[in-house]
Amino acid sequence: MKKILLSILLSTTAFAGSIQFTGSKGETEFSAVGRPAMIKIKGIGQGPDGIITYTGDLISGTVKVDLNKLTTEIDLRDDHMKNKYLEIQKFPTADLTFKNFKISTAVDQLPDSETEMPFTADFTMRGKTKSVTGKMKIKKSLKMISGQAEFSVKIMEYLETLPSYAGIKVAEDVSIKIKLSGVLQ
Amino acid sequence: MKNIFFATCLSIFISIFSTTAFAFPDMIRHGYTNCTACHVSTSGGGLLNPYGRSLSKELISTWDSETEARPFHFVNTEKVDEWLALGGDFRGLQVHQENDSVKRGRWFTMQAGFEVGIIQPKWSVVSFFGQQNVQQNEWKPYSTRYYGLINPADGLYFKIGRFLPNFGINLPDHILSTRGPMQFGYGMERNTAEISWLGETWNFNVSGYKTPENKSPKNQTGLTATVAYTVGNFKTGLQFLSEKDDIQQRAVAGAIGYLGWTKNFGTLIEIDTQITKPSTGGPEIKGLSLMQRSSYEFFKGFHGVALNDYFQSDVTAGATKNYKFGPGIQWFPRPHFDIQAFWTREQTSTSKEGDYAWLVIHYYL
Repeated sequence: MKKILLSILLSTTAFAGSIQFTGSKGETEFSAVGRPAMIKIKGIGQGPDGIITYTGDLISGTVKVDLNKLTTEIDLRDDHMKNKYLEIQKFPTADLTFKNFKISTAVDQLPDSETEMPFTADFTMRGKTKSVTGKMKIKKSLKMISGQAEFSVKIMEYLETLPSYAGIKVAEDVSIKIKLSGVLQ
Repeated sequence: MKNIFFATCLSIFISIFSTTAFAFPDMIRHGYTNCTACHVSTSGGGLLNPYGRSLSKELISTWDSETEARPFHFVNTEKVDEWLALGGDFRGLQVHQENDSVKRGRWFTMQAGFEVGIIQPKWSVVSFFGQQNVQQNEWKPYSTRYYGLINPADGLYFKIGRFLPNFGINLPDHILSTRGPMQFGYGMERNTAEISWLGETWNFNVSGYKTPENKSPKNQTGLTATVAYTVGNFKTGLQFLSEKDDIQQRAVAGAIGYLGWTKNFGTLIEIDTQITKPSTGGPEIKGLSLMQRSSYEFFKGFHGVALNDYFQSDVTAGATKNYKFGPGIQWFPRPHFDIQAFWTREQTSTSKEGDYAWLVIHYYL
């Protein structure tokens, strides 16, 4: 009887823990368009650093992307992006924060094949925070959590002025893709 | 006989290589899918816009200094950049040909002229002044290319004037089978009206033209249509041309590809089939052109190139075949300078396989 009660108790107990994400093991990519010539602007940087805690299927915590590591492969464009628009001296990271967000599968129950699920989080850049929604694909392999999250932002919700240079203006919608690599603690 | 043959070859070479400034479509590797990013013209080439000038320093040239990419190098044009664009081109060519019929080399000044444009957010007018007559080594100050451009909305352009219709990959190497032999080379600017949609993923272009009487006294008129689709740094498309004059009708159908495999490695490929037939009726002649140019940027501004170029004006007549293949380089040492050198093997029906090499020095203001 005790064993049965114990097994019932264990099956209904939400496992808790945390996931440590390391930037150098992931990647952050953003895609923007420069109008009117429809230039495809792609920036690549490190993945996010930070710790996400979980209790069953609820996740909380903040991961941060080092904006200084972003590059678009053109020095002048990088300089304008970081110093003129993102002001990375004052705001060195872009943050994605989860507050008790319920994912579709408990973290410890994630399969070793990618599971796609929607998410809502707070995205903070240049000191301004807005709610974003997107989708993520994640999988668990032993103690490794990996996958990617994708979402879009309207950059004028974060910036003072629309980035422009020599007649080219960046379109307001920017898509962001984050490749995640974390370790269960 | 050999001299006549060589002179003929050389005059064809000259006529198809004397060009105005053309585009650098390899920029697809960096996400620049439309020519209007750097050029005023929707089909690329010629006058650079301020962004294009900046890019010539930031992305294209091996070495540079802060103000070097400006028009006239170090002249500060910031006060007029918003409405006035200035440019110009000098192009010279050293050619070498060696086979069992001929062995010769020669330098030619191909082009020298100025280009001026009034640039507004919704419209532009542009004219190129100056033309080098390489046969007589004379410079004439008249305008060979001019157009007005209206841009009522992002991506939508109306263009009218005298210029080459937007057809094919607009490379400067007009020796290539898809340019000069397809009649999109030097001196083939036509009175053209063109509408273009240059969007983020789709490009559409329709041109109607009439060839000036001093270039074709045969009442030549034509229509071109192209459609291209971009995904990532890959742009592929289809193109069609229908043309007629008093003597013959011509139809071309082709496919183009701008393939940016990596930020350093890209391929440009174009294949066109051509059908000509007499206007009065008669048998059709089918022709074929294929150009494939792959380049790798070893370091900033320096590209190694592999070229395959095939042309046959009549696929049933082996005597009309011309095939060139071989390596080359393209180097942009500093803003305003563009150097190309190719050394190819040439196969024709009139001689044994031989060498065909050329060096182009291009200076743009």
